[in-house]
Amino acid sequence: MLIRVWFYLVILVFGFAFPSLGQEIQEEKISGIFSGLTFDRFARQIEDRYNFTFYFKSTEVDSLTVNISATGNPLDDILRRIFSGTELRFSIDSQKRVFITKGQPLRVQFPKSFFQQQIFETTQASGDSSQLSQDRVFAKNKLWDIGTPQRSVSPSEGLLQGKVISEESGNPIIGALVYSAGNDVRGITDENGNYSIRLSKGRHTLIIQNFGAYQEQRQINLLGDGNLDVSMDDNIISLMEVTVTSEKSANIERPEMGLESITVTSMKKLPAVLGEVDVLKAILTLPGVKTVGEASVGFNVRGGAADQNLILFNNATIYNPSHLFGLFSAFNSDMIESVDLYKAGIPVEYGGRLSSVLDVKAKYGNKEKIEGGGGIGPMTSRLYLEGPLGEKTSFAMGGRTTYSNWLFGLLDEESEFRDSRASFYDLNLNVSHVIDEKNELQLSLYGSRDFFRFDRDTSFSYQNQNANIRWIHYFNDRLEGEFTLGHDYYGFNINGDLDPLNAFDYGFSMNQSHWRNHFTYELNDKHRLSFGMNHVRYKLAAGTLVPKGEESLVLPEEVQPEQSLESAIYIGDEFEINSNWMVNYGVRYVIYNYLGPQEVTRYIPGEIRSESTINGQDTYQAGDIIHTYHGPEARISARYAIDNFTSIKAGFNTGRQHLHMLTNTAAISPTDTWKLSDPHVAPQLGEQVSVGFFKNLKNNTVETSVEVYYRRLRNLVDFGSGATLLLNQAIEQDILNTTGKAYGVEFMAKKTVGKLNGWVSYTYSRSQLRTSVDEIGEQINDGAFYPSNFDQPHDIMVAANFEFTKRINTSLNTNYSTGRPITLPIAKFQYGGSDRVFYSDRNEHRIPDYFRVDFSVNIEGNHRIRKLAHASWSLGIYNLLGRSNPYSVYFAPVQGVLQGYQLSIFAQPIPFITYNFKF
Amino acid sequence: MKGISSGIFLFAILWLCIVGCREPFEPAVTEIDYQLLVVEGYLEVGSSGSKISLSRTTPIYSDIRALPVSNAIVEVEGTESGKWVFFQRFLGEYLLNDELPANQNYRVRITTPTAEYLSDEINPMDTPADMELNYERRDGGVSIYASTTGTENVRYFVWEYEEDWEYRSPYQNFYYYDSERRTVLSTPFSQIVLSCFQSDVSTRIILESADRFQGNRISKKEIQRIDSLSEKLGQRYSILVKQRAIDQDAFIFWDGMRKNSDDIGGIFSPLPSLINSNVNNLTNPEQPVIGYISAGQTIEKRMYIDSRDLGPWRVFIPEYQNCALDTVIRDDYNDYFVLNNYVPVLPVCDGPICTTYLSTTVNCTDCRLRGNANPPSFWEEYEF
Repeated sequence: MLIRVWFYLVILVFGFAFPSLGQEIQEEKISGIFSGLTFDRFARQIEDRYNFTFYFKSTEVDSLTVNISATGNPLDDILRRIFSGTELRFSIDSQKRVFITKGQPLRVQFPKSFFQQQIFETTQASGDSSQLSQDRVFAKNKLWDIGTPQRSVSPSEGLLQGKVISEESGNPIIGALVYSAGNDVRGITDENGNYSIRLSKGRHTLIIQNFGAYQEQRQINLLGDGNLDVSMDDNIISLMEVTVTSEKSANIERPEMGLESITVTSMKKLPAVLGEVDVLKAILTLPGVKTVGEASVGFNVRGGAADQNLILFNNATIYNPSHLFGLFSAFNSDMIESVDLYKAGIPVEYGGRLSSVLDVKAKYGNKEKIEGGGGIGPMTSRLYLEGPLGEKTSFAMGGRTTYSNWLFGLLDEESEFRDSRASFYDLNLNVSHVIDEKNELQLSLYGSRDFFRFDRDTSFSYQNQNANIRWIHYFNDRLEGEFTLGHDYYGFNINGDLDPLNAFDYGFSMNQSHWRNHFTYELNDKHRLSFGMNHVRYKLAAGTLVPKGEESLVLPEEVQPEQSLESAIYIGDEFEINSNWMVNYGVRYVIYNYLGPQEVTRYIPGEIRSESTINGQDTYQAGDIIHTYHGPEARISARYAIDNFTSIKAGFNTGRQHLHMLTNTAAISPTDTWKLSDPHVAPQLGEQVSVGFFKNLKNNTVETSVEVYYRRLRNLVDFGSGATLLLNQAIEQDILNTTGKAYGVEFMAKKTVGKLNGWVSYTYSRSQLRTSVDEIGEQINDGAFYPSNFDQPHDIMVAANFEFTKRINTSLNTNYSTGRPITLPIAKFQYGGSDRVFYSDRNEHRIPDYFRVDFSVNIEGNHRIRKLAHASWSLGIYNLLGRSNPYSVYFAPVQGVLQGYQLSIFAQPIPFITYNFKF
Repeated sequence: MKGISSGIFLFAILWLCIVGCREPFEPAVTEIDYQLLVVEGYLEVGSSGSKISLSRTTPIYSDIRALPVSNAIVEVEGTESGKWVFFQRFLGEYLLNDELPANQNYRVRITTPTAEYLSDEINPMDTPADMELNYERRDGGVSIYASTTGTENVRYFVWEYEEDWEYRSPYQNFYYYDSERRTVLSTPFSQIVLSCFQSDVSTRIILESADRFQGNRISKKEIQRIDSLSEKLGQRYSILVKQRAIDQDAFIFWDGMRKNSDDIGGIFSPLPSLINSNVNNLTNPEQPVIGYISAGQTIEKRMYIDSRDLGPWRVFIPEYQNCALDTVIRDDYNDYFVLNNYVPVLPVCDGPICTTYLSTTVNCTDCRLRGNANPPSFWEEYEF
């Protein structure tokens, strides 16, 4: 009796306490915009403002980005939205403690039945009384009494019936096996998930087994005929398949425009040439990003040149982001955490390039356990390993290499390419160390090298080497600082061993050291400041030729090395004026000093710079400031939210670029060199205005947008005809100061969830150049605007994914674009024993339009936990239709007779297959 | 380093076009017939033989490869003294038999019925006479090199070559069919053709700058490369290399022309170059003129390469790939030897009676169908 009273007391307390607690949680409503935050930061912000305390493992939430705008929503609504589509579950207890767990929510209250000893008696007649437990752990171990002896038809047996449904979707699970342990009787669920099984009365362990997935079990005490419904997981979701759906409304909420984020997951779904998941190929599928042709390294963002993209890999500047002439990008996909491309609205902390910032972030490693993986393709292989090193340190390392040389071995003995070789590798090492709650250190190392030769005599290599260390310090809840020190190196070498008399070594190198301080400060609910300072010290050796060996007659020659210091100080504010208006504005002041030692040639002012107009030479010593360029850069973008699903944004930004790539090829070539701004070569300047309209449909599952932009570019570097760029001691004599304009409109519709997902985009854009009016040298096309090499007005991209099951996923990509401009001859003539052609105006013609369809299938292996490695296959066909998309169209004499040609890179369907594994 | 970009191009082609992706294509281009004047020539200073060719451009898809300009007056004026008038030898080809003195600069004046053209002042270059030729077996083929030494002032060179070679058909015409006597007879010795000669001239632009080498020494500049299996080295081969010094502007002109012809269309190819000229249209200065006239001396040197010096050299001649031998019996003589142009090659004898002949088509026995039976006038036979 006493016990009974006690029980009732407990029920009273809990029975009343719980509803009221529920109301209390409801009462504490959350408001505010949480965008682009890590879950960690989100939790801290909630803790700051409300009475909740969060408990979670940071490794379980570190792949999550929170993009939520809340206006008086209860916390559980918000968390449900953040965690939807993930394995994360949460529970909130009476003390407002929020527990986040993977798989199942932590029990913070006992179910009523625990105390009430309620018997789940069900009847066949009324199916509505069947019990579907919400609590799975509990359900597993509880003893379910089923049926009543009275209702039983047979004295010794009972008929058990029920329905098996998916925990996640609520859909019936078909073909699940239902049996009692140690018993031969079994039942199988039908197409509605219903099963029936006849068991002896008494205790059973009922096992429900869905093939290739979870097992569920129930302890039952069968008293007579009865019903038991079971919900269970219908599949294990593999980690890489986690799509962060919490970003759903970011496109509406964020003030920035032209920001494109690609998840590693969606990148892996794209059909890849030769089976390598590729960041650079993936960003080419985005509206406003173009390339002059396949297998070219560079990409062009909104009508800007390829050298106007800042490519960052964990804070390091990558000058040559490709392997093997652009066949592969230099980033190991296993090491990538996130990829962001800023086409406009470049954050105030970045600068130095006019068109875009491609920010590739690499992993710092799993803090829980050692993991690894890799892939094997026909030409390349890769491997990575990550995990903890002690309690506070984690690491991630990866490598990639090629073994393509076997291809050359297959060639005929007489073939002139038999001596060709090509190889590359890249290596990553990232280490993160948490010193204490307030301090964290991150070390990031990257190296890559390419080597090739086309005959035994001349070999070519280039390498990227980058290292940086970052210290993150949380001064207090509001102020956070990041301090980065690093060094980036890029260089290439050409080695000529033709014969001892002509042997040479040619080298180019770019060294930059950088020091960055970046702070973010949460002023209050409405203002979020970021400010800081960057210094980049450039050391450029534009070309060095040295004889190789004692016999060589080659004269050593060197283009004067250049050095400069680019400093910038910046401040920006993200200001949420009210729920409709949000403004992100900032200014960045850049000071660029061109430094000695250097000999600077003086020319007669107002005359064309040439040998004959040299007026003298000024000699500067080390440390002398030769020339200073300085000026502000503006960054403004604003959002007006019409409703939760619609917003209008506008932006204006300007930029200054002091580094110029010297190229007179359409694609970036491995022998392109760079030049620093000097007294003769002014920094490139650019401005962009853009306006966009964003609307999400169908509960944020379909995102649509229209963006319009107009850009103006000044002081671009172009060259007169036939300029020699390698070892040119007076490049300023060949440079033509050029201005440019680019404009366009980008339409995009994107479906983010569902079995069929993907996007459709259409872009109309133009990019035009003109020799500056005040340029006294050659006026290209008589000083009129002419299309740039990457002016491709129409561009349509359809990227579609279809998930047959969680394990089989197919992608179909379709890309159409106008052919790029090209210069074709206007007349032919005979000269030097051969037909020759005469060229006139630049880029007056176009190559035929581009059209390509790719197809790929990704097959995940099964997910048994006890397995050596989890495997997946990706296979597909690049250029499914085998269309010969011309890379170039040209006329060349063959045996003295002129012939027109088109050159296509992937003129055939290219099948690929890659085996990926994880352990 | 000139070869690097084209090398990369070739390499990339190999890499990417495992299946082959260069296809003939005829893009739409302008049909306007500009008829720009094309001037090609060299003033021989200190010797005779200056030659200037005049032609006009034609549209890209025109069937006319060159349009010679026949009714022009071509004169050369010394900046100090003298004026010489060229005569037209062939259509569009103007020659000067006189010797131009070395100690002055020159201008070329061209007058056509519609316009007058005048060149910039041309400074004659002293072409060094020390050119040496040699060859090397390399990567299965044979490379022919020229070496020379420039000076402070003479640093840029162009080369041209003429080549001649001896070759054989797979079978010889030791027999012939006499259709009147309906029998196969032995060919008289005087009519037996053992080998023939073909010739070719350079079509590539070959140039080099000496200024990146010690002592302005150009060592082993590749003039011609003979690929493996070429018929040129099957018997005996001769090359005449002409070397001319040019000035820097002329070098830029020739290099632009070379890039437009050799380096075009590849993945890392430079964009097409507009080419400069040292000839101006006085009547209509806006209209471009194509061509660059240089002055100086042409240095010539000849070299022979004999298959006996070279060692074994396999030859593959596509025209001779179907030279199978058919057995022709007497009854078929008319069908084969008269109607089908077959030639008896080898008798198949039954004792002393030879009425069956192994025969082949005439192009497999008569090398004259592809060349000249007589050696060129300069030809020197192999000396044992």
